[in-house]
Amino acid sequence: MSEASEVKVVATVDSLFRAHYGRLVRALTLVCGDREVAADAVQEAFVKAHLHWRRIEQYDDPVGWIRRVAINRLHDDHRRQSRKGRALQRMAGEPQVDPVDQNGFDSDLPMILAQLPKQQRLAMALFYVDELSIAEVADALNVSEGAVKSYLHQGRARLRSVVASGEEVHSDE
Amino acid sequence: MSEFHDPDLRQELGRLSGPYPDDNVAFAAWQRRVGQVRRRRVVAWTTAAALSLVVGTVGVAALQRPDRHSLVPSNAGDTSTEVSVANRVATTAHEAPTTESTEPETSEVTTASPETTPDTEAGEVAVDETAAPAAGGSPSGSPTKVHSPVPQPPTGSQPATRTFSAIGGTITVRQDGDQLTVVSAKAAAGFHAELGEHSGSRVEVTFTSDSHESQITVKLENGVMKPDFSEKSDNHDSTVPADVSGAEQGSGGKSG
Repeated sequence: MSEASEVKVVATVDSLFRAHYGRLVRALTLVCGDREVAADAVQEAFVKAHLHWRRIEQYDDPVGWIRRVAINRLHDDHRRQSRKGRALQRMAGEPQVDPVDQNGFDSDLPMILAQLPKQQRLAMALFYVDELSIAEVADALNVSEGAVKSYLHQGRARLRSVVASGEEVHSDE
Repeated sequence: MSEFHDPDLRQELGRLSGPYPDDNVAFAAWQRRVGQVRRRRVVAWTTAAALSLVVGTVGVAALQRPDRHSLVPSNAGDTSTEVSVANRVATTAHEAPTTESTEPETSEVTTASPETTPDTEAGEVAVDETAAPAAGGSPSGSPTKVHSPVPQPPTGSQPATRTFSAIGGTITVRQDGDQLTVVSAKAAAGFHAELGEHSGSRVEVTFTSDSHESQITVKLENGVMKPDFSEKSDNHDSTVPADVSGAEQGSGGKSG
């Protein structure tokens, strides 16, 4: 590869990284509850994109590919952590709950979010935090748009009560 | 507007997901990871290339080992597989000018057509060593190396048999230690053979026709058979040097 084209490739991946890295990390943080794990998954996806960019740039939606790679990486990490957590749970005899960073929240939102099925959490995160359209969320999760709407409807119904009660608490204060 | 549009929920989830990460720090970390992965790839490729080179070199070396040729059956019905190996080695050695005195069991055939010979086939002067006595066929064509010399020192225990051809005929001589024996003498058409001097280390056969006389003398020199050829024609009264092919028959012929 010539030096000029190498520079061009780096610049293209660079622009994608700067445009999408932060949003994707925040969305996946909401899913896995750990900023470091989410950042690691997204960085890994961008590394793969950089190494295979000549192929990936031919895709219609390179960012979608990166997003799916990051989500898959997150799933892998989650499975590893689940196995590890179940082992620890068996040893300690304590129930396990998906960790969601409280981030200083005094409401039940993180707990309710952690109790949502993972696909619902992903759909909520990608739609409300990464600000994707329903079609883009469906593409990222490899499900139909109807399924995404169902996830959003159910997740929003669960979380909305918490958000509304939180607003009431804030208004009372 | 989407039915799922909910600014409050978006805000709460945004708060829960934390602030935006520092792009510059994240970018630098990403660049480091890319560099690490590239270095690992380079190391892996270099190692693979080095291994391939080593394996290839070993494979080529194994293919070129002489004992590998022992698997190839030798020709002429010889049961000794080492003969084919020796022949191959000798082929290379034979490219350089060598004399027969150093190769008592060489297999080399050189042909030449003397100017004085009327009969093309009969005019061929050749030195032909054969491992088997049946190889009495006369060589023909341009000077060509048909067999390769076998650079092995003479062994006293195994007799060596060689065939020498002149215009008048072909003789087969066997060397057993320091004893030479004429096994056969075949005269060409129009010639008849006469066994001449026949001592232990020297044999002489003369082929005579009405107009031509060929004399083949074979003697031992340092344990190696050395032939001398003498060709006499009534028309030209000239001799045909035995060393027709130059270095191929370094023993040379003596005029007479």
